[in-house]
Amino acid sequence: MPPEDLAPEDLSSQDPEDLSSEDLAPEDVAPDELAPDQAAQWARRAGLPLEPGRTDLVTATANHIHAVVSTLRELDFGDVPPAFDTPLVPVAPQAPGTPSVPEARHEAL
Amino acid sequence: MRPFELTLADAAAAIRAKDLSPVELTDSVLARAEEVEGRLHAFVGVLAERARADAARAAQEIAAGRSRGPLHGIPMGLKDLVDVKGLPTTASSAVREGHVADADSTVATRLADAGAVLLGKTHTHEFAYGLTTPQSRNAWDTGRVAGGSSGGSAVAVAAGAATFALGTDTGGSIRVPASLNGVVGLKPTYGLIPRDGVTSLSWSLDHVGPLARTVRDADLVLAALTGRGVPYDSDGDLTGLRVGVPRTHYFDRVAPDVEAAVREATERLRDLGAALVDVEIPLTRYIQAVQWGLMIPEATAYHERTLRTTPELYAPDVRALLEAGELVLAGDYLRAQRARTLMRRAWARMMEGVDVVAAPTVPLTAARVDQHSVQWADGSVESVSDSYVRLSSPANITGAPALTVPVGQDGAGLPIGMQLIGRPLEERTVLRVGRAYEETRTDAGRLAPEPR
Repeated sequence: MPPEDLAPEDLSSQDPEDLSSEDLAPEDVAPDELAPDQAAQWARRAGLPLEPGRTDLVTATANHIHAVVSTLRELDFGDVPPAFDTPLVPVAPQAPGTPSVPEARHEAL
Repeated sequence: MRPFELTLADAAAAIRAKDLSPVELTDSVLARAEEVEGRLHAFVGVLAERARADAARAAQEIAAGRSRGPLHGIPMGLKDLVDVKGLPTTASSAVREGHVADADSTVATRLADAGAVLLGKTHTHEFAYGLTTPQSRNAWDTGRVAGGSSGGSAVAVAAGAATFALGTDTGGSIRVPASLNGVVGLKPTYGLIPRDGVTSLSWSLDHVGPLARTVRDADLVLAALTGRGVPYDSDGDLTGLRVGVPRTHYFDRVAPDVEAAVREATERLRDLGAALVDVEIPLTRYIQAVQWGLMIPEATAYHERTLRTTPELYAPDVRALLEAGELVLAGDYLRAQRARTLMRRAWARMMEGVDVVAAPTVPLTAARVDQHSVQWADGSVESVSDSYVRLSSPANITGAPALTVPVGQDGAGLPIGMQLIGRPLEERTVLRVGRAYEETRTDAGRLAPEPR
């Protein structure tokens, strides 16, 4: 079973033996969750082959992260850009010929 | 009063008046560090010889009339994510074995230019990826967590083993341990303090800032870090200032003692002339999703190489998170980025009606070292780490300045912090409010009692 939360100390105390693949039969895996063999395949695809004995812990952790992060799929973003493309402080439109926002200030945003 | 008991501002005044030399102060703080370190484990390493040499140099400069300002000759600690040329930056991790920084970080340079004396590097939760700092112990009760990830910095300052320290804050890592150890911590506006030469947890959420005994002290350190030089003025009068008191999120699932202390503190702000205004915190359902959606893949990206070459050197908790981070989809990361834009916009609208928001820094005081979860009055169960980050992460997502100030103790005698969140780049306002509040307290700047 996946851990109740992402608390690192909880995960560290989680015995990987308690998270065996046998406990995660296909019918136990939610439709949008990864099964251990899928997680292992995804990890290989990412260039990180998981060491033996780690697949179940990583799968459970990844599924828990997914359960939290996927709530964002409820939002309709329309034309909203990612934050790295937006200033922290709104910049007012400038009249032609006025100096641009100083580079240092923009860096501070 | 022994020199290690002095706040930064008082020590600076004593040095300026020639009532105290940097050498006396540094010797006193080093002796205090030696006295408490066996119980508290705040430091990765103490650099006594180097500190004494730097203090002697500061004393000579001051005697020659070349004072560099209020930090000159003041002993301090740096979280061991901050590069200092020639010293290892361990990140409290075996992964960094053999590391030696080949250049100073900008913050180390600025503090050195201000004449501060480096005492040593302080412990972090490994690579800042956690909220407890298990190597260290709480300065008020050694059976309790230090908080994290800047746990060593907070413990050192609270115990008088450093007059101030630097920490980093990605989801609350300055404010959480500061609150749990009864000191002041400031997470400045995102980007205000340069982060080059500071080991990253998550580039888009990381901040560097001071931990100190008082708001006044934190302001002095901020002035040196920003190059502003001169601290902000404060007259203690908050007339005309609007303090937002959250109706949502910040008082949900909060320990009764914590809520009572923070509400009492907001009443003190009203007594100082501020108007209390109810505010609705926006998009609270998505705070954790945005925080994780940004932090987890960014942290994994930072550790890409070493996760493949020496994974066994990471602590088990950190390794599991880093490995699982490889499985977060790019689409989910971009959704978190776009939701962050929505959150910033919504917070900006909310902050049009107030100058600061006042709220608890953390929902509960320092947990026992063997406590992993907390059960709330509504029956829900939450991990201690999730609880600690719940109220602090919005300021990382929005990039807004956030200050934690001690506001009393709970029934077990453990410190409680109030968080003051301002508009981006309005550090002056949060420091003004925090300082006005602390001037109402007779115990402002106190050290932790001897550990139990």
